[in-house]
Amino acid sequence: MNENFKNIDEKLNSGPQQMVAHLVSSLPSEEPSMLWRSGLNEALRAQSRKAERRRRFFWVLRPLSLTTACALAALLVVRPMMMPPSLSTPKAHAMVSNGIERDLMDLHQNDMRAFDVGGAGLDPTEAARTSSVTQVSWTDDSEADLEL
Amino acid sequence: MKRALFLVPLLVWSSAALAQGGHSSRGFGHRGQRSEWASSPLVPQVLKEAIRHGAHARFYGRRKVHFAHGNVNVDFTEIVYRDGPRTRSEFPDGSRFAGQIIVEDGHVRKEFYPDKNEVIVKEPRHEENLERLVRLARRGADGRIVLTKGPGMKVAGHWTVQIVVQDKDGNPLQRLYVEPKHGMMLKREIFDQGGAKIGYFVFDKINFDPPPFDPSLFRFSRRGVRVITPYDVLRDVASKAGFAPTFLPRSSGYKLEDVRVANRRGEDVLVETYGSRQGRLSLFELKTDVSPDRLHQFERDELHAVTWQAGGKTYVIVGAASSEALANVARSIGYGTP
Repeated sequence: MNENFKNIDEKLNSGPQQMVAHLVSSLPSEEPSMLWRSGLNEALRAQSRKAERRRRFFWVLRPLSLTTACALAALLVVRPMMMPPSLSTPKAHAMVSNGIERDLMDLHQNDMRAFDVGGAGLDPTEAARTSSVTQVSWTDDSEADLEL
Repeated sequence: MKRALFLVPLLVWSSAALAQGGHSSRGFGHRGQRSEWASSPLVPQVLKEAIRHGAHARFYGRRKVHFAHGNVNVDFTEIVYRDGPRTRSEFPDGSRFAGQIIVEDGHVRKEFYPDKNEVIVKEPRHEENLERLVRLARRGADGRIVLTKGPGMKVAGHWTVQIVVQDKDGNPLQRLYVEPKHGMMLKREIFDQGGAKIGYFVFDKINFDPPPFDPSLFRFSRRGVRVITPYDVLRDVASKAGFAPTFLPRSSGYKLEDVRVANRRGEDVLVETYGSRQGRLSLFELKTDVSPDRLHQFERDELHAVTWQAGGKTYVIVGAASSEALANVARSIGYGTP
């Protein structure tokens, strides 16, 4: 064991080893300057402020985006349930027609004309319901002066 | 937690805004137009007088009513008592409507059907009749129709002034005969697009100075009768015919007046007729499809339609209002019973 240490000391005291030791000890000392340290601290502080701002921005943005998403979902899901679906898209259920469209328009117009002459009196659609199908014939006896 | 507090009110606000949607307060644009027709030289003075006197007319008379409804020819005679907004209609002996009594007390209309021992309670029509004349005057003032004063004829013993209602091309739409002293319309004729007379009413007897009416004349009160509304009729008719009892809510301004099932091309159609100050409209419910494009082909001035599908049924609204206004009415629709 002592033999080994003796060998190491001999090797360290050898010429080449002494030359390397001399070269290393003669290198200039490079401690970081105060200016460089200050710059680093400033950069770190700026980085930290940016991260904080980003965190705050997302704190507001996340609920906003969530609200917008919910509102969009309501628009797409709830609203179509509330409004007649094809009102905004009249061609949505275009299909083969059997001509009933004209009949519906005629039904409406017949009712309106009947109300026009019926006025506040007998319900004209009720009158039509209880009337038999007859030939339309016109007799205008407005000149008649009937006794009440 | 903080975030939830921030989110909830925002969500409530945005949902409420969406629910309000496009049908906020768009009406039919009638307000503020009254003075235009009243001062318009395009509206004959005698029509203005008829509108002015319409609300206060007082008479006792008999009139004949005649109109074609599809392939049905309807004619009847009714006896009318009128005192301002209050009216009573009866039917002479021998009429198939004899025994029916219709009264309006200015607030409510009651139709008594003795064969069913039933009274149907509805909205009064008196004001609507007046509004119909006002709409005619407005269309005349707007230049959408032409109103021409002409020589009248003797109706029920009184000389009248004639107002001819024509479209912009000169086709006759209506002829009105107004007794100028009382501003009372004694005769009205309606023509179809081909110029054929398809309906009229005419007074054959009228007394402009009747003795005072007993107020009970304009009321109907009878124990043991079944009192129903058109909404009850809708439930009954719709369930029997396999339709959904869909109706326009009262908040839409349109009140249900009549419900029936018509058959067209082998298909049953639930027909609901509504009245309002803005005019009348029809709501149809069908079990088959309807082409919106074909419906739009038949649209013209004062005749528009919107259609949609829901719950396996097809719905169509037809009325005089614009398509946009009808779509707004459609959006107010409710399901179920009132």
